[in-house]
Amino acid sequence: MSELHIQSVTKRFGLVPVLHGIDLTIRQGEFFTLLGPSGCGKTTLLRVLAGFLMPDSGSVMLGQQRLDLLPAHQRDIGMVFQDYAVFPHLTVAENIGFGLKARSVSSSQLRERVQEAMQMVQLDGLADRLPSALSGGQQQRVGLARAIAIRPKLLLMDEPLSNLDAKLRTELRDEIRDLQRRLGITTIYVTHDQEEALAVSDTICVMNKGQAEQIADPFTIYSAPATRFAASFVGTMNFIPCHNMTGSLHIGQDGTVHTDALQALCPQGAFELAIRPEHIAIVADSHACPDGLVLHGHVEKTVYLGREVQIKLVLNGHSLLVQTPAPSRQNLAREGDRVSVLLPFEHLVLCHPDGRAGALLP
Amino acid sequence: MMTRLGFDVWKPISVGLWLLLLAFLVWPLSSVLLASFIDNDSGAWSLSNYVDLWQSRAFHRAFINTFIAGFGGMAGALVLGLTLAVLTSYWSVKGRGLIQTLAILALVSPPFIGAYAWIVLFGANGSVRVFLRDWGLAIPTIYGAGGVILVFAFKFYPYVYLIVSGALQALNPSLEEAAESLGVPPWQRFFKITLPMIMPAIVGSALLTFVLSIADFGTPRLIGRDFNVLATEAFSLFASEIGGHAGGASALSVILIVTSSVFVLLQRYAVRSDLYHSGLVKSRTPHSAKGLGAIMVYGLAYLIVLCGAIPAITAVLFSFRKTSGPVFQQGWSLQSYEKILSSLSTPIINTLNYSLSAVCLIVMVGTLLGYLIARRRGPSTAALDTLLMVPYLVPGIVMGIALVTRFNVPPLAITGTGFIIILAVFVRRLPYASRAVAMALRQLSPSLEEAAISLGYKPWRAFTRVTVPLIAPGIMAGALMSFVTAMNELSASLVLYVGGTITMPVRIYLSVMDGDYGTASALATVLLALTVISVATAFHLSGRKQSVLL
Ligand SMILES: Nc1ncnc2c1ncn2[C@@H]1O[C@H](COP(=O)(O)OP(=O)(O)OP(=O)(O)O)[C@@H](O)[C@H]1O
Ligand SMILES: [Mg+2]
Repeated sequence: MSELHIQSVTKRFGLVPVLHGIDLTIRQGEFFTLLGPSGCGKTTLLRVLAGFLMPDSGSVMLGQQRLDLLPAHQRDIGMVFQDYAVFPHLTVAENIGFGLKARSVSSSQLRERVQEAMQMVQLDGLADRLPSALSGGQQQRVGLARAIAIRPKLLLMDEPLSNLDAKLRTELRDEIRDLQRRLGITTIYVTHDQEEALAVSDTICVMNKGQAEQIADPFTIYSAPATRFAASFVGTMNFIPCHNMTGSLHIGQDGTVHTDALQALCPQGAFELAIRPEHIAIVADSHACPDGLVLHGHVEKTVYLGREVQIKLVLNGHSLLVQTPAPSRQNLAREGDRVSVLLPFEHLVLCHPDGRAGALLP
Repeated sequence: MMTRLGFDVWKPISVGLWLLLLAFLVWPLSSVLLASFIDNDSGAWSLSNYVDLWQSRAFHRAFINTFIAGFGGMAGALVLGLTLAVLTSYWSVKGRGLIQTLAILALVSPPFIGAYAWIVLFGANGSVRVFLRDWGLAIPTIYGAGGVILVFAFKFYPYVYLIVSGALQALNPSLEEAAESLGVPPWQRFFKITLPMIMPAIVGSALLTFVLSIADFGTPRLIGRDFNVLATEAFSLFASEIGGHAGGASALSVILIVTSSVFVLLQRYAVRSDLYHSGLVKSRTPHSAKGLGAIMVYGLAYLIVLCGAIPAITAVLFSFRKTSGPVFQQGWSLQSYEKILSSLSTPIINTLNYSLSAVCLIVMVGTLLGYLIARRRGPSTAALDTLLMVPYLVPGIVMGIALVTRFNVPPLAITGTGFIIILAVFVRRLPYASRAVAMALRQLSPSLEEAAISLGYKPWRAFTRVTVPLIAPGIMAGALMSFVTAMNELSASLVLYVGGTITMPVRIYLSVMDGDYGTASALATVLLALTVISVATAFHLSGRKQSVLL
């Protein structure tokens, strides 16, 4: 088993720190995704792994080997680039065989492996084309085939799909995932598209400002964000500012509730409660619920999306987005309607002022 | 700045390039600067050279004349170039390709051929003048300030034409259409919308023609007669100071460098950004002119380009005329060619030798420099890039003087050899080549090379296997243009040549000075033919981009 250990890697450009002590462990064969907003240091981390940048401190171990002490061309790392980086002066087959030429591979074996790689990415029949005669999707397939043809120990992909149109993006995304499973290559994938990350990854690392905020499987990342940032970056989330003082719990700007059950779960002082739009239910006015919070407000806007409706509510001077399956025409909420909503405790996330977050229910 | 593990081959290369430029650019030029502050007689530090110039009437005249030539050449080139650019952009003129070819021909034909062709036609015994005199029409000779300005105008107008018509093409015609829909009449549209937008291009090209005019040596020397400028004055002073200290010539050189620096920097400032480039360029649909308008448009456009091409055409025609001694006779013959083949093959062979050697050096060093500038940003490369500005500022005659004064003593006593001529061309043309390479590289994604490295290639092999083949057409085009300049180099070679290392331009210049126009024509035609072939190939290799010519 060769795991990849990234140990307290830091990197700064001039005086600007870009990576603050990144610690990651990536299992053999894992599809590991770095997810984060633009400028958070994803590319920088990937380039440190590839050997194009030297970390200022920290180490990268692949199994027992110090990867960060090897020059880039000896690392045996496959890399797929955002701009494809397909060599425009070489044919598809020559591109894919380029890495094999640098290794002592016999010419018959080379042909075989190029053929095999082309089949894997469904490029058969295009061997003699020049890249200028390929679509963007096909070019990225060449980039992918070229990277896997050298049978790398590690596959790095930096936003490989971001230059493709939406439909192709989902298609190629699934293909990459299947191929990775089949070959069992340890893969680090960079994206800032959260849906893409959730769809393909074994493990997601949510990054922000050069730090790993949360490392977990997609389900946990979505349902139990560990930080306020992770909660806000992945999916849509409502944040409700609250204040708990002895005796009363203030919710939103001016509402006060007396729910002993809730108050017992909340810390003292200021904090936020977070909840996904799809976990909020619209209920009858008189509804009382022992394991949920009921709030009252009015409808500000309704957006009908076919399968579901998005309702923007205002309650206690605070807005709340609710997403429910679309009801019949008569029951569609209208602007100005007064409504009550139920926020089940089991779906509430508690965000502390220091940025940590966790489920409200222990 | 990228830091790579292991041995980075680009570090020693960068050190090597620094040493090269320090030895062959900074070191020689420093000799000019130092010599200008050393008294010729006492050998002590002094400002006497500058004081002498300050008090010399000849210098005053040359200084003023330089500006007359510069502004005159600039004004003439602007009038011709702008007219042609506007005519061909707004009206569909048939034979646009021919117009372009003729303009390019004027651009690439060496300036001294221009000067001499005008003499053949309009000199004291020039054919056109004699012809008109027979009809009772006396026109003044070409000699003097007017002639110099005329030659500059027809020589340098293609720069204005190419740059301004490029800017006009890059201009989104929707802007003018928008103004039209707002009810602005055509003339106002041009002056209020179009002109301000192409202003940077106009100002930039104007200053460029100014700099070229004041650096030119052959033209004022050949047809200026008493019209001395700083470049010719520096040469005369240098010739009179040979053997001793070149203090006076050096001081004059420093003044010439400072003058042209001011205008080169102004030009850089004018073209610093292409503010008005729009991504959505749809091409303009030119009007078709009718009736009198058509005659005007066609007449003017073709008049300009034909006059610009006169020197080249004249040289070719006269090279086939019968001569007796230096005098042209009636009828045609290959006499002049026989003569250059039998007795004047040395300059041809020398020119080819030196130009090819210089170009090989330029390509190798220029590619490495261009790569460093484009891909290894850092304080050291930024300084290199700035240092490469220097050759743009130094007129050829000054570079010649600098090299000869620095390299006539050991350890590098190469004065009088072919090496020094190669060196002059190499140093002067290097920035063009490295800039062209840097530009080609900026259009190439850096991830290509990284891809090769991640696939197992050492950085140097990634460069040679991926980057070099991709920028090769650009390098080749640049090399051919360097070859053209190398072959046509006159002013530095004139300072540097000795009997055995004479080149074609120098031979042509001397023949013209001696009045041996037949030989000059034949040599000029050979030179022109080589030039045209190289330019056409470069043009083709660069995907027909005119920017390769500038
Ligand atoms: N060579 C460099 N010199 C200086 N700063 C740099 C350099 N490369 C990156 N940075 C800075 O480091 C930070 C992280 O950059 P990085 O490219 O890793 O971001 P990213 O997460 O990949 O963003 P994106 O999603 O936009 O690709 C950014 O603020 C960027 O401006
Ligand atoms: Mg990035």
